[in-house]
Amino acid sequence: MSETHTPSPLAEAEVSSLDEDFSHRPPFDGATLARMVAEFRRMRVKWQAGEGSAAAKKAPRAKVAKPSAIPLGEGDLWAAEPEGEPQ
Amino acid sequence: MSWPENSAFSPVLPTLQLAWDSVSSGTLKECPRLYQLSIIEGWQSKKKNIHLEFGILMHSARELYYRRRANGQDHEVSVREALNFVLEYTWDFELDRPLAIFAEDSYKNRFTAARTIVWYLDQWEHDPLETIILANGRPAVEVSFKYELGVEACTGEQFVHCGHIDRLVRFQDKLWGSDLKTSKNELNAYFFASFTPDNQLSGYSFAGKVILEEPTAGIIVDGAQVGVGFSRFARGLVLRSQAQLDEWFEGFKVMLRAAEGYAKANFWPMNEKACYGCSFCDICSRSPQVREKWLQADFTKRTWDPLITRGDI
Repeated sequence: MSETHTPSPLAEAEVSSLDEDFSHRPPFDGATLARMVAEFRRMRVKWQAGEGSAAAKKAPRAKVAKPSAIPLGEGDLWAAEPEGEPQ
Repeated sequence: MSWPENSAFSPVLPTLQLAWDSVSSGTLKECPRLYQLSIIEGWQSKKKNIHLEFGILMHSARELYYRRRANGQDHEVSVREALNFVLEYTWDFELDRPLAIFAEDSYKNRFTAARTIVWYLDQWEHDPLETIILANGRPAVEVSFKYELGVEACTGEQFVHCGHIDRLVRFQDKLWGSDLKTSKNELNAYFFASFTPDNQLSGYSFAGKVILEEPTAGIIVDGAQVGVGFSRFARGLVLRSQAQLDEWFEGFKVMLRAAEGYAKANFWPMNEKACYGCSFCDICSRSPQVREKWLQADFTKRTWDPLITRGDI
């Protein structure tokens, strides 16, 4: 299986704000952990924004199988029916 | 040859395994010689496998989070504790620096582990899967199971099926097992199709129907794609019909008889078609009389005892 979609790594500056924390010996206090969590969340929002625009530019891909996509929370849930008939 | 003490094996015939989990059965199915070396004799490579280590770390951090949530702790504090766990787990306290194994791979490393657990737990903060609370009041995470299969070994002892299910959940009024799988690859139909057939998940589905008062509907696989600069998540239902489970069990019983045959013959043949990528390939490629020396040089010993419980059943 090959990697088909790998967005660019985050910019150096974004990662380096966590570098300082990552070089310290654990455990971390609550305030430091809260700051790190907030930083990871900022990264996620930024990545999701980039992901959204990349997806909009991309042509729809043909699906290789026909699982039923059932909405489950925020994600899609794939289910293959073991007792289904050939199509 | 002396055998490591292991409660999963027969005291009567010490190379006959009585208690079987998915690791040992999967290993025997792959290659009897691999099974002999890694499970019976307990050899493992000195070099750790980042994919295995990363998976264990993610499972453990997720377990901690679900335990905290089930005890009434809020999401924020639970995420911070899970993050702290990841950072402690990946730190070499002797050398006071990150563990080398978590600094070698551009995809699976200390940073991507921390990012993945925070993003994953945020993704499922309002999880439609509800963790089952067991009769003892504890959340059903890292649930250990063990039951007799009703199959008697040639020694007169009973074979046992055992293992650990990540999490038991209720979803759409049904009971499900839940398992987390990390991958570098895209979470698409191919990814989820790779779990059918699958020895581990068939075993979990089979066990769920046996050990719980209510049958499980199947396994929900939580996929986590770990990229260099992102983590992405998706869920898949892995279903097994009763006929599929019956078929898996028939195969399992045949495998047990094969294990008996190998133990009685004191010989576990190589499956030479499964050597590609095997960590023991270099050992098996050498003449039998020198293999032990090569094993001692390049491998360490550990005891794989699937009867050591982790959770709460």
